[in-house]
Amino acid sequence: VSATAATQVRELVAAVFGVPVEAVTAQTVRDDVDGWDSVGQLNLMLAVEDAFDVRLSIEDMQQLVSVEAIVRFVAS
Amino acid sequence: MPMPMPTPPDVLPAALAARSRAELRDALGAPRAVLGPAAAPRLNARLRELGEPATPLRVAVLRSWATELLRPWLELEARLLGFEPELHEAPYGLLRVDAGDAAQLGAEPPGLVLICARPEDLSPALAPPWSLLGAEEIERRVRDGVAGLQGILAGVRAVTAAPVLVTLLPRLAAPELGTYESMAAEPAAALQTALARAVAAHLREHEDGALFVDLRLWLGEVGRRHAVDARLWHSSRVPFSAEGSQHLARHLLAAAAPLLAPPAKCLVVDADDTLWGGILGEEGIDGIALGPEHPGSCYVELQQRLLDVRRRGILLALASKNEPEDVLAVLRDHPHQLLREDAFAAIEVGWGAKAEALRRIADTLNIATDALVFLDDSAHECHAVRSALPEVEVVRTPSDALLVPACLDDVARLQVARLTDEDRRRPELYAQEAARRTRAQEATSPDDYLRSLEIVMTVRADDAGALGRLAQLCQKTNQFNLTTRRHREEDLRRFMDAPDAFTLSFSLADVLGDSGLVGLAVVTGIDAGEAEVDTLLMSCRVIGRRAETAFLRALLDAAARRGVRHLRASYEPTARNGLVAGFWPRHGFAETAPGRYERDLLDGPAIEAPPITVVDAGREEVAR
Repeated sequence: VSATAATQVRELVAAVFGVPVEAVTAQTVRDDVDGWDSVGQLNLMLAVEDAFDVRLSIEDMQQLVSVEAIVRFVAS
Repeated sequence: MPMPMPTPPDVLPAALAARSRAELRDALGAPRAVLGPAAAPRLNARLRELGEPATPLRVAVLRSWATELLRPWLELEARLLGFEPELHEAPYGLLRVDAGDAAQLGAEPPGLVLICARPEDLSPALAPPWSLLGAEEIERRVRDGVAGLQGILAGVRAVTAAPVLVTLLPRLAAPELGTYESMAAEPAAALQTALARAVAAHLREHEDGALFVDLRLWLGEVGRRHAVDARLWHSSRVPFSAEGSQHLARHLLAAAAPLLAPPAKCLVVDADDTLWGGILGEEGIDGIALGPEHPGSCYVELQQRLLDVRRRGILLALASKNEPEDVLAVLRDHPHQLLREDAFAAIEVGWGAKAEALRRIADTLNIATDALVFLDDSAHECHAVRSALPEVEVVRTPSDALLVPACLDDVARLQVARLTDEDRRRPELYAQEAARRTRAQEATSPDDYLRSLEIVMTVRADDAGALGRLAQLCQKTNQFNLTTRRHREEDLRRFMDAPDAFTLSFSLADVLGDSGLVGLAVVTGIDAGEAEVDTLLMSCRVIGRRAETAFLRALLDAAARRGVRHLRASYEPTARNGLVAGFWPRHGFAETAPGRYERDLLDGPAIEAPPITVVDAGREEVAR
């Protein structure tokens, strides 16, 4: 499950910020990606909700700022 | 923990496990969680099982829309409030209770009466359309509506003194006038608000224990729940959800679209599987889907939406591959067909290519093909039209009938940015024009035809009261336009106020109807007997009645009265105005340079007067 989720999250981050999937790894964090600013965070969180059919709390939306954190969240 | 939408999964189990009504209510959360459709019966069962003391409440529902889906939720909400409900739904459509038949409200007298009516059930005067009615008409209809409600309440009061809730079904479709509804002098909301206020006032003053609940406000509340995202607002000052943002952006651009490019002038619709469901040639007039039952009801609703588009001043035309007499039979005789023959400015039924039909429609209406929007269910026809006429916006009718009524809601080219009296009357005017063409074909000579029309032209100088329409003519007139200068209202006002310039405009009427304000001339630079025709234009709607010649004669008179002897003019060619290339020489203007002309107002060659009565609204009748 988590291998698929990890791939899906990486693809999502790549799609939202318009970067190649190869540029997004399991270790990628917010500061690594151009455009992953506060508006980018908002867009990414809405995309996560849509892709994984989940609803995030306001705290989640502020704290899920790395691929690893998002993967952990959606896998839980 | 991720929380699946729309409700946390533990809400229902927690509520079902509750050991008291208060605990159950608490488990449902505040604000109340949105529950799935299966939740109400289970929660009702749980509340009955708890068996706490409850006040019996008989609710009688008078309705002209189907309220069945409300029933379990009404019961649930009543139980949460501490009542033990017993619902009695009166027969569908029964709003006027017979005083002698109390059982219509239930075997036992009710403790609450809920009225779920459509506005048109109060009075037929409240049937749509609701926009563009005018203050007096609104007042009349509202009065009729309140009188109707009084009758319904009198029936209820003859049976019971119980509290009454009055509701009216809000409009379910998108606004009649599209995005222009916000700008309309009399939007549908003017009638709806007047009705809501009058109903509320009537209940306050004359009906003890009756309350009006405006479902428009509730509908807005439901919309807010979808469009607003509190998380985004409180974290980032973004008010609208992802869904809301998507809709708002589309709505704003659709509203701006008619300011950025001209809206469509004509919507051409296919017949089979667009105006009705099914193939007329195969299923026959009695076999097509068109009527009160699904899927026919979806096509009736699309026809209503087409009438809404027509109310925006956009013409309707029909292009169908069928036997002409078959289609005409439906237009004339089908009991549920809303769009009769006279709803269409042009009808093309035959077996030729649709692109050719569209070209002929544009020709007939004197508009360019890029002013057409085409609606057809066939992928093949849509593709063929797109290839032959790429300038035509093609919309595909959905194959799912349920999607059909709203299929034009997002077409930006069907939104308008203004709606003058002329715009509103345009579809009717084009129908008159079609009648004129028939007459012209029957007349023995062109002049006989014109005389038979008994045309009256009314000219007005510096008509500041019509600035909006005059500016619109400048923006929109392409074919009969000598210089194509796109003057705006403020430009025209300057010409009217300037001592060395004037405007002259005309409206045209004949036995077949009033064509409205359709022509404009601007003369500038009046100085020492010289002047220049800055603008001369005429709506394509009145081409062919020699109005241009009568108008030019009036213009020359008006210039001469202002001391002009030598009038200069020009023809500035565009892609669209080849029609008037010879206009000046034909009227005795001498060419002084390529595209430049001049006429001596005292000694120029005579211009024969066409058979039109010209009235100068600012003076007396000046010529015949």
